[in-house]
Amino acid sequence: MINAAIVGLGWWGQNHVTASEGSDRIRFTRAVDLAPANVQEFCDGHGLTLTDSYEDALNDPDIDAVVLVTPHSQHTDQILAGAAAGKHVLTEKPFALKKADGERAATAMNEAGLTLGIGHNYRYGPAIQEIKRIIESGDLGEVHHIEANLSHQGQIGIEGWRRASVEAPTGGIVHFGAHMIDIMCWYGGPMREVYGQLTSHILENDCGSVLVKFENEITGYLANLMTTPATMHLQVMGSKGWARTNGWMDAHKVTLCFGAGAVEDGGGAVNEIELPARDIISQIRANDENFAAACEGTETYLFTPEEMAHTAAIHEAIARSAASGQPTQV
Amino acid sequence: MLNVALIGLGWWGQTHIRALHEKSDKINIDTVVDLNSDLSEKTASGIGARTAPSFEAVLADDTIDAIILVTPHDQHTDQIVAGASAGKHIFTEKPFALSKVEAERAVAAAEAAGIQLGLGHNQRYGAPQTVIKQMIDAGELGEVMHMEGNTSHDTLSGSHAWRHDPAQAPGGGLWHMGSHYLDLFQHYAGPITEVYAQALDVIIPRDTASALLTFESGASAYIGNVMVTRDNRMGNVLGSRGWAKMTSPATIEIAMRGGDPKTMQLDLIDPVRANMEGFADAIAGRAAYRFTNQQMIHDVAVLDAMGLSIKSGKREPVV
Repeated sequence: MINAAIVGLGWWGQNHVTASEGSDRIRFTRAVDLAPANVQEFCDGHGLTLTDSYEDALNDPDIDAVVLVTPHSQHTDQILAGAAAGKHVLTEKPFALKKADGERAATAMNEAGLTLGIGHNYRYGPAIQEIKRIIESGDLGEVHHIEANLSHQGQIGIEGWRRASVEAPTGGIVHFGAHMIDIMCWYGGPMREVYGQLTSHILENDCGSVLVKFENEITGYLANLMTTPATMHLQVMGSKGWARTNGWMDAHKVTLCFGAGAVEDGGGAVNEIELPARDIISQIRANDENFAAACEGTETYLFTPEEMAHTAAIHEAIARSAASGQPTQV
Repeated sequence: MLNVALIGLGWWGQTHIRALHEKSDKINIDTVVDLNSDLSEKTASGIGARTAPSFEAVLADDTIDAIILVTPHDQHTDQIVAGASAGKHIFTEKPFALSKVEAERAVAAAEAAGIQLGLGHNQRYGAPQTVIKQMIDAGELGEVMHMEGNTSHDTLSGSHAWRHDPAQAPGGGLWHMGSHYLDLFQHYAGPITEVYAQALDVIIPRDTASALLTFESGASAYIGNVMVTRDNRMGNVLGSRGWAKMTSPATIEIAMRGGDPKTMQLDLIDPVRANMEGFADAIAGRAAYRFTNQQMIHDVAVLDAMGLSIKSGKREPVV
């Protein structure tokens, strides 16, 4: 069991706390928020010691780990401070927006021998995990192309730091696209080159799309719209068939098609697999608990610091590509 | 009844026959032609049609009103020009031409001769595609922001060797199935201004290809194609008020802002027949054809830019 401090108690920070209720691996005992008055009641209800200073959490010897749910541009410095204070750190996504920041943060945590976590909780989703398993099984043959679009309209009418261009230079590609970048790399390995384009309709940069070349002979497509009804499309196409999931990030159905020969002979027949459901709060809990177990050395964490740092390089390359109008090396 | 000659009796030429023979009261397949004379004879006897010894012989036959070209891509332009000069209406399979210059030459010949052109981008006549076009025009999806299309299959990875030649299809599946989406998306969102395309040669040339498009309207679009995977279809239009997805030939899924996704059942349409009959209706003056000649040229201009982008590795303007 580790003791953790939640840093940033907005909507998503509160989800981390409620998701871990009753966990025998992670217990939130401290909270940091810049506007304590707004969250005092929440903290009272969840047994959290609340202050407005990150230093308080870092200086608390009873705290093993900090969970950062702070504006994107603050992640790197906060991770470095956590490493210096000997705290394990789980940060919300995006890990960082610049390659150099991502590398600095990952290196500092590695050198301090601390566990680094990342809030890409969707890797714990049933359909996402099943597709990973199918890829590794070889049933799809060689992977050729990966497509991902995770969109929603939750940002309409909301003002706040998430919309600032310094926090999200590529709009929704940083917000929900970040999850898909992580999953695409989980499935296809590191990315080599990206071409990104952004258009603005209702909000600035509310439509982003990216073509990818992976280091392996794989290509990909990623999109996010911030102003269309919620939708997810995630598909992996291989030499023997394909697998996809649709709906939303708690999807627990995978549609599959693979095998040689005619459909009537059983090759290329389309099947749907239904898996046990795991809602988004349970996915946050699964991630936080896997992280906590890794902090204690009892489990391997599902993500490596190198993978996290790589996503930062990808975000930077997409932003540069969108600005230049040309493909950009990661 | 439009009296037509069908040129090219391979896999897709036979699809035209299945779509039209004894199924259309607007089109009669009078004559069939193929370089393989045994195939011509066999096909003709199967449907009670005539054969002709050559394309030129068809041009000289006054009883033929229109010609359907299901021939290799690089022959389309010369055949259109020759057909137009002979006063025949011409329906050509896609791609319309292999360069914008050629496309303009074909359209100029058609317009000089006053004949109707038809183009085998059948998706414009499919049931889901038609309903989504109506929704866009009625403003139900709001502003069209982004579109996505990927119809992939491995039908072409077997014996259809000429289709693998990069000279016939510089972007592999982007030319074969992908060009249908390019055409459909200009039908939905208007002219395309810039493209970026990429293609890998993993198992066969250009078997994994994708492109991003930018439209004059401010919309964007993705087109993907993998020629070496199992049958797969995705066609989505994402707008500021809602989205619509083509989920099967007779269903669409739609979601409006604030609402849950719903599936809508449609009457199945054979898009090959519907497109051919649209062509026949235009010739007879019954209804406007869904394609303009300028759109046919634009389809090719976008393919030109995609081909250039695959080579240059850069974003390219559509000129």
